Amino acid sequence: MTARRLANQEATLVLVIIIASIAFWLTAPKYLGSANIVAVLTSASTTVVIGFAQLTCLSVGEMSLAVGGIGAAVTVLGGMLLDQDHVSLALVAVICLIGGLLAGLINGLVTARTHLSGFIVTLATGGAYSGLAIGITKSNPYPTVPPALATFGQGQWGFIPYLAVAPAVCAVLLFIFYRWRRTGRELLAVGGNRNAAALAGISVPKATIWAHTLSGVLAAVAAIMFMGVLRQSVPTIGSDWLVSSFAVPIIGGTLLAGGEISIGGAVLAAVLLSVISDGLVLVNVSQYIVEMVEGILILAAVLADRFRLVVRDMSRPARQLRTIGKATDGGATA
Amino acid sequence: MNEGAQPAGRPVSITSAPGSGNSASGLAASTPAAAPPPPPGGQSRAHRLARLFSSNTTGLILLIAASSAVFSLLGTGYLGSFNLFSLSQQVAVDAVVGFSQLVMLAMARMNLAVTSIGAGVVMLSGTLMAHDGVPAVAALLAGLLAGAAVGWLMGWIEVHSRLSSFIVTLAFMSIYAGVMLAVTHGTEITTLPSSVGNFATAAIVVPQLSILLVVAAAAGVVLAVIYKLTPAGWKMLSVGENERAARLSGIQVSRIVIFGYVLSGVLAAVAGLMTMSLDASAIPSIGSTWLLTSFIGPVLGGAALSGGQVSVSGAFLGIVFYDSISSGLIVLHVSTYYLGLAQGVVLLGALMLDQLRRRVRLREQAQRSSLAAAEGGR
Amino acid sequence: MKCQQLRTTLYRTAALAGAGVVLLAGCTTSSASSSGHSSHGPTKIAAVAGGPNAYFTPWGPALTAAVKKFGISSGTYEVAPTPAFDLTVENSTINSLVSNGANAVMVYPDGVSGPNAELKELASRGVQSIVVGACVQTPSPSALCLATDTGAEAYYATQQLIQAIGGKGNIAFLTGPLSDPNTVLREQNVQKAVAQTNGKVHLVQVVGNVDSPTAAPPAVQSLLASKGSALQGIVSTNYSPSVALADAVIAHPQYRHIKIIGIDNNPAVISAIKSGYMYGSVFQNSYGTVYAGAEILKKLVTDGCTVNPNGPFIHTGSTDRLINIGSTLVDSKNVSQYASGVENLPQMTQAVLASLPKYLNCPKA
Repeated sequence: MTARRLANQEATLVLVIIIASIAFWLTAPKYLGSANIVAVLTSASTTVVIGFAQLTCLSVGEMSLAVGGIGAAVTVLGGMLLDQDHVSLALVAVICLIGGLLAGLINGLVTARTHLSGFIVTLATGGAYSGLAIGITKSNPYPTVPPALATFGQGQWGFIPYLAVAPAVCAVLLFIFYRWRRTGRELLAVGGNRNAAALAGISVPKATIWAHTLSGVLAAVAAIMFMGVLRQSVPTIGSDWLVSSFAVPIIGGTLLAGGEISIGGAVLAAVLLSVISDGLVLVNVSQYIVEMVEGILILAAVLADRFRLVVRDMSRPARQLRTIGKATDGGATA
Repeated sequence: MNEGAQPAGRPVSITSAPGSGNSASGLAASTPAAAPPPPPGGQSRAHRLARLFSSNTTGLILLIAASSAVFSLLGTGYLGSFNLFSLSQQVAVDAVVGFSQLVMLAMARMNLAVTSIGAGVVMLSGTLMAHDGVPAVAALLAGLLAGAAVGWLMGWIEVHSRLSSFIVTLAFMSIYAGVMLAVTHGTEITTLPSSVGNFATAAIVVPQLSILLVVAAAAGVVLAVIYKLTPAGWKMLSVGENERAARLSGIQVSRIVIFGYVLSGVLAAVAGLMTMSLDASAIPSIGSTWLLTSFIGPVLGGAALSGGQVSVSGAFLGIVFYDSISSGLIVLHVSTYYLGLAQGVVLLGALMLDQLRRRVRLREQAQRSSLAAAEGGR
Repeated sequence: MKCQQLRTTLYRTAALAGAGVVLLAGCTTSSASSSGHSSHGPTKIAAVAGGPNAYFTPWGPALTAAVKKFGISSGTYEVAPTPAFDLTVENSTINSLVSNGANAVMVYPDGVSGPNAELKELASRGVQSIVVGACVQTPSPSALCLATDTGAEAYYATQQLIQAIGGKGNIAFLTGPLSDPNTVLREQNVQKAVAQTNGKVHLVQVVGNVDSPTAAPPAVQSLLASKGSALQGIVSTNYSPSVALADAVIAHPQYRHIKIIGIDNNPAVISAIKSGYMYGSVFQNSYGTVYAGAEILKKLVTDGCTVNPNGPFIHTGSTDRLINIGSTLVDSKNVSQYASGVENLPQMTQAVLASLPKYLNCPKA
């Protein structure tokens, strides 16, 4: 049933993306030009990795407010190495990933060991990570990145930006991890029902640590991607990742409460969000109504999935429920 | 096309309350969100609530006292009347923003549109006051009504679409802000009656306490009364704790959820109007920090993100603690660029200390009564 | 059970409130002396930046230099910890600094009229203030505003752009948050410059709300993808879109026919100007703003000067107390002078310092 729900959701997202694309294409024919497709996919690529960084936490029923903070800290780490020490790019990338891993590991360890909620822990550590990034750089960017990274960020192969390789690899690895690896399935079990998972012998702290660590690595991947896109290391990066990090997995069908994830859904959601914001620039919507239109389109897109239910609900108000309600309502007022 | 296999009635899907035993309780890690659906208003919940209140409240009071002592010893001016007065203004607004989120958290929902509602209400009230010669009180009432109306709309959409509150309020975050921008084109309104601006600068009892605290306290008392003394209160909690069980026990979930949304909308409106008074003008960009702030107070105060728990005094004390750290670190002359780092480290350190204290206490409790321990660990 | 619990909570709350009041009353007397500074004392400056941004980088060194040069008692520089430039956060930053003894405040205002409530509060406590980097609406409790003239700057940049594209063609405008009144001012002035061409130049698109490193690149790419071939020029009045534009023309040769004028000193912008891919960038006198601002505060506090309301202040739509600290267009011809990337225009600063007697009435020494 879960699989069916997610498959339906993905199908609807595909449908909505197609409809939106046709609408934009009819209004602005350049929508299907290669430059624009590259623009949409570039933006979707970074967005989806940010979403993945939250998705791993959501899978165990945790949240991370530190995705942006880790992104900023890793950006500064990378910038420092590239700018001052002339280390090879591959080594820098590896160090950045390890940096993200460690930052995530700290989140996971503190959350698991203290029994504080991940929300509060990552609120604090996220502030600390981004504060560190701002502190080291005084909010100045590191100005250069190696040509290879710049090419990775802005180059393209036909319609496909090189950048899209990163989310594709991440998506495949995550899919394998959650579908076929024992640890991945344990993460989902913990997210689905923590107590039951614990009773079944699954280590909840271990799952929590895994989720936050993965999240840190993915945030580092997003940071490296942005270093390529921006051709420099900007320490204020990540300050506006919070909402999109949640929006991408959740519009894609991942449950906020944990236990159910949809990797394909997250990819499609990121594409949808990018299509909408790109299309609105293309059809030259006045900047004063663009935000309103964006919100309405997002709502319309997610409502499409629910359309049938809405109709049923309107035609048949919850009458039976109300009659059931009468039986017990009121009695329990202390 | 979709969910055809679901039985009639309400499918438990995205909108459903998180499954039992979700982790995300705040300070109160010792009391995981309850798994089984207890009878609404039953003994066990009252008992648990009582314990929650006491432990979080005590912890936060200790933390506030300790941090204030440290800041006033190490830096000059922390306990100066000016600093405390401005701190009290900020705490008052942030507390009401937190209450707005608390209502939603109690129902296992979220409201991402707090900022947009606040800004929209401010611009509406401000426009009415400035241009149309409407009496200030009428304009304020219109603002509150607007807050209720936009809350209602989101609630209505949620219960009829069964989308998660996250998605609905995410979309409306853009829609409300967008409508406001489309109408105002981002222009500030500065010609408000002087009484509006003067209100927020007034002090109460002592020069260190802003009158805005009275507004926040009133909002808090109303909430506490709702949760402790009215059926709507425990119904909202029941919905948050286990939506399916609440429905089975006869609660009209749709109606109570919409009520919660309305309450949250009104509280966001109140916070907006308080800010309008503070700024003595209607500014479209107010509240940019609210989204995060709104969660901090309730979660520090012990509300579980998974719903079913509420602590009004905890949410208030939580925000007092958080805001006083921010203010104190500036007084301490922490290097400006490292402020964010210091804030994070202090917050985490303080919470871990408190956790330690709590664990020690819990162990004592467990030794005293094995029965209580069995229930607490459930 | 429930009643008892409620009663306990009530008692606890009452006790807490009582304790708080006693505590506060206790410190009233001790703290009363900290307020009410009068003139003619030492100047203790607090400089507050509106939020983390590279534009503010020269502020710290400038304040240090000014404190040394002008014999100021002390200078503290803080960045309000708010990436969103939130007024509430900024106000609490100022409040903490004033609690700590500052008696002269210069602040980059996070809003056009909102900061006035805070400045009024400062004035009532005997703290002198000026706003720097951007202006607040007058009448304002602050003495004056030392800034580049935002509207005039956008007008100037657009005029330069129109000239660069030969007086006719299509241009686009990229800008910041729509709830920022400076954005409104900038757009009006861009429109004004375009209108003066009598229809020869068309403003074909305005893209707002893109001043963040995450939001700017996709918006720029979408714009170039759809209108790139039809555009002759682009003007950006904000930091992030300027950087994104520079990156785009560095990476994509097909857009290099577009004349682009950006703002500020990001290395990518400088490099694009040097390579001739970007027409120019408007440099603001960030260093001089704080340097001259410190001297003004010292004159107001220590020397007992007052503002001359009939001084040659610039009057814009919202303020009548503006002293222009200056900005300049950096293009391929003069970019080598600004290769260090510091936004500092010393000649303009000296001009402002030399003209201060016209703005301030000072008691004869």
